[in-house]
Amino acid sequence: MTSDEGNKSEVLRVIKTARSIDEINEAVESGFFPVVKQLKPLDKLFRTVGVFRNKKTNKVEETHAYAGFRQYTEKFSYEDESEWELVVPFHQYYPYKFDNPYAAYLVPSDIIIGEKVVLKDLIEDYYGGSFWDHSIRLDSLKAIWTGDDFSIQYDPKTDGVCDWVG
Amino acid sequence: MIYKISTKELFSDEEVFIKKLHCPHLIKWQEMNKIKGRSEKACQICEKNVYDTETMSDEQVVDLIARDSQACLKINPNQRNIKVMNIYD
Repeated sequence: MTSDEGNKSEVLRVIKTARSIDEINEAVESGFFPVVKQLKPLDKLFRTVGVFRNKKTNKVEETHAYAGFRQYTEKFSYEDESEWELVVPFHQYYPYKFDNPYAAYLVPSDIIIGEKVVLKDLIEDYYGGSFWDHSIRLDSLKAIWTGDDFSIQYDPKTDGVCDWVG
Repeated sequence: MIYKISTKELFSDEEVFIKKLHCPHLIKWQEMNKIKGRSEKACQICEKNVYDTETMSDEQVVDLIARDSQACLKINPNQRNIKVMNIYD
């Protein structure tokens, strides 16, 4: 467990996350209490994807739509059926990968109710804004210890925007 | 510039590493105070300015970090001078 290095700010403890049984039990042996949770993918983070094959070159391209814009307003279109064949139909999938479908926040024994902390590796999915056709999952948020869980401090107006600082 | 989301690393277009974006205070751009007549914002926690890379060239960002490796940057994936990579790695 480490503390972040503030100057004049409140110094918040950083709560780590363990993502395997071995890692969780190792932390328990070191005195941490595991708040174990199931991973629950957030609908908003799912992506739409389809794959087209170019009939002339046989090369394939991934896309989220028949036509639209990519980065830097570059236009694309797969609408010409003489040129493109949809080889993987459009479908939705969850793009984030984790080792196990559960994880645990490792709570230090001296935490007090009402203590504000940083959850460095969030177990829960929180929407962190969108760009192009991507919806971003937040890594970290502040939270308050309630005695048996963390009350996560999420504000969609400031946390649900892709403005990254550091 | 190139930004790798999974590692939070920022590179120049020539793939020269600039810095890894990390704010231990999880400060939000929207919560910072504007500085009149400038594109930077003032971080009230560290009392430093945060530079908006949208208004800077690669050279300016590289130069800034060379002078002050702890300088803070803000990037948005929609800005025209950033290419975003490694989104889901």
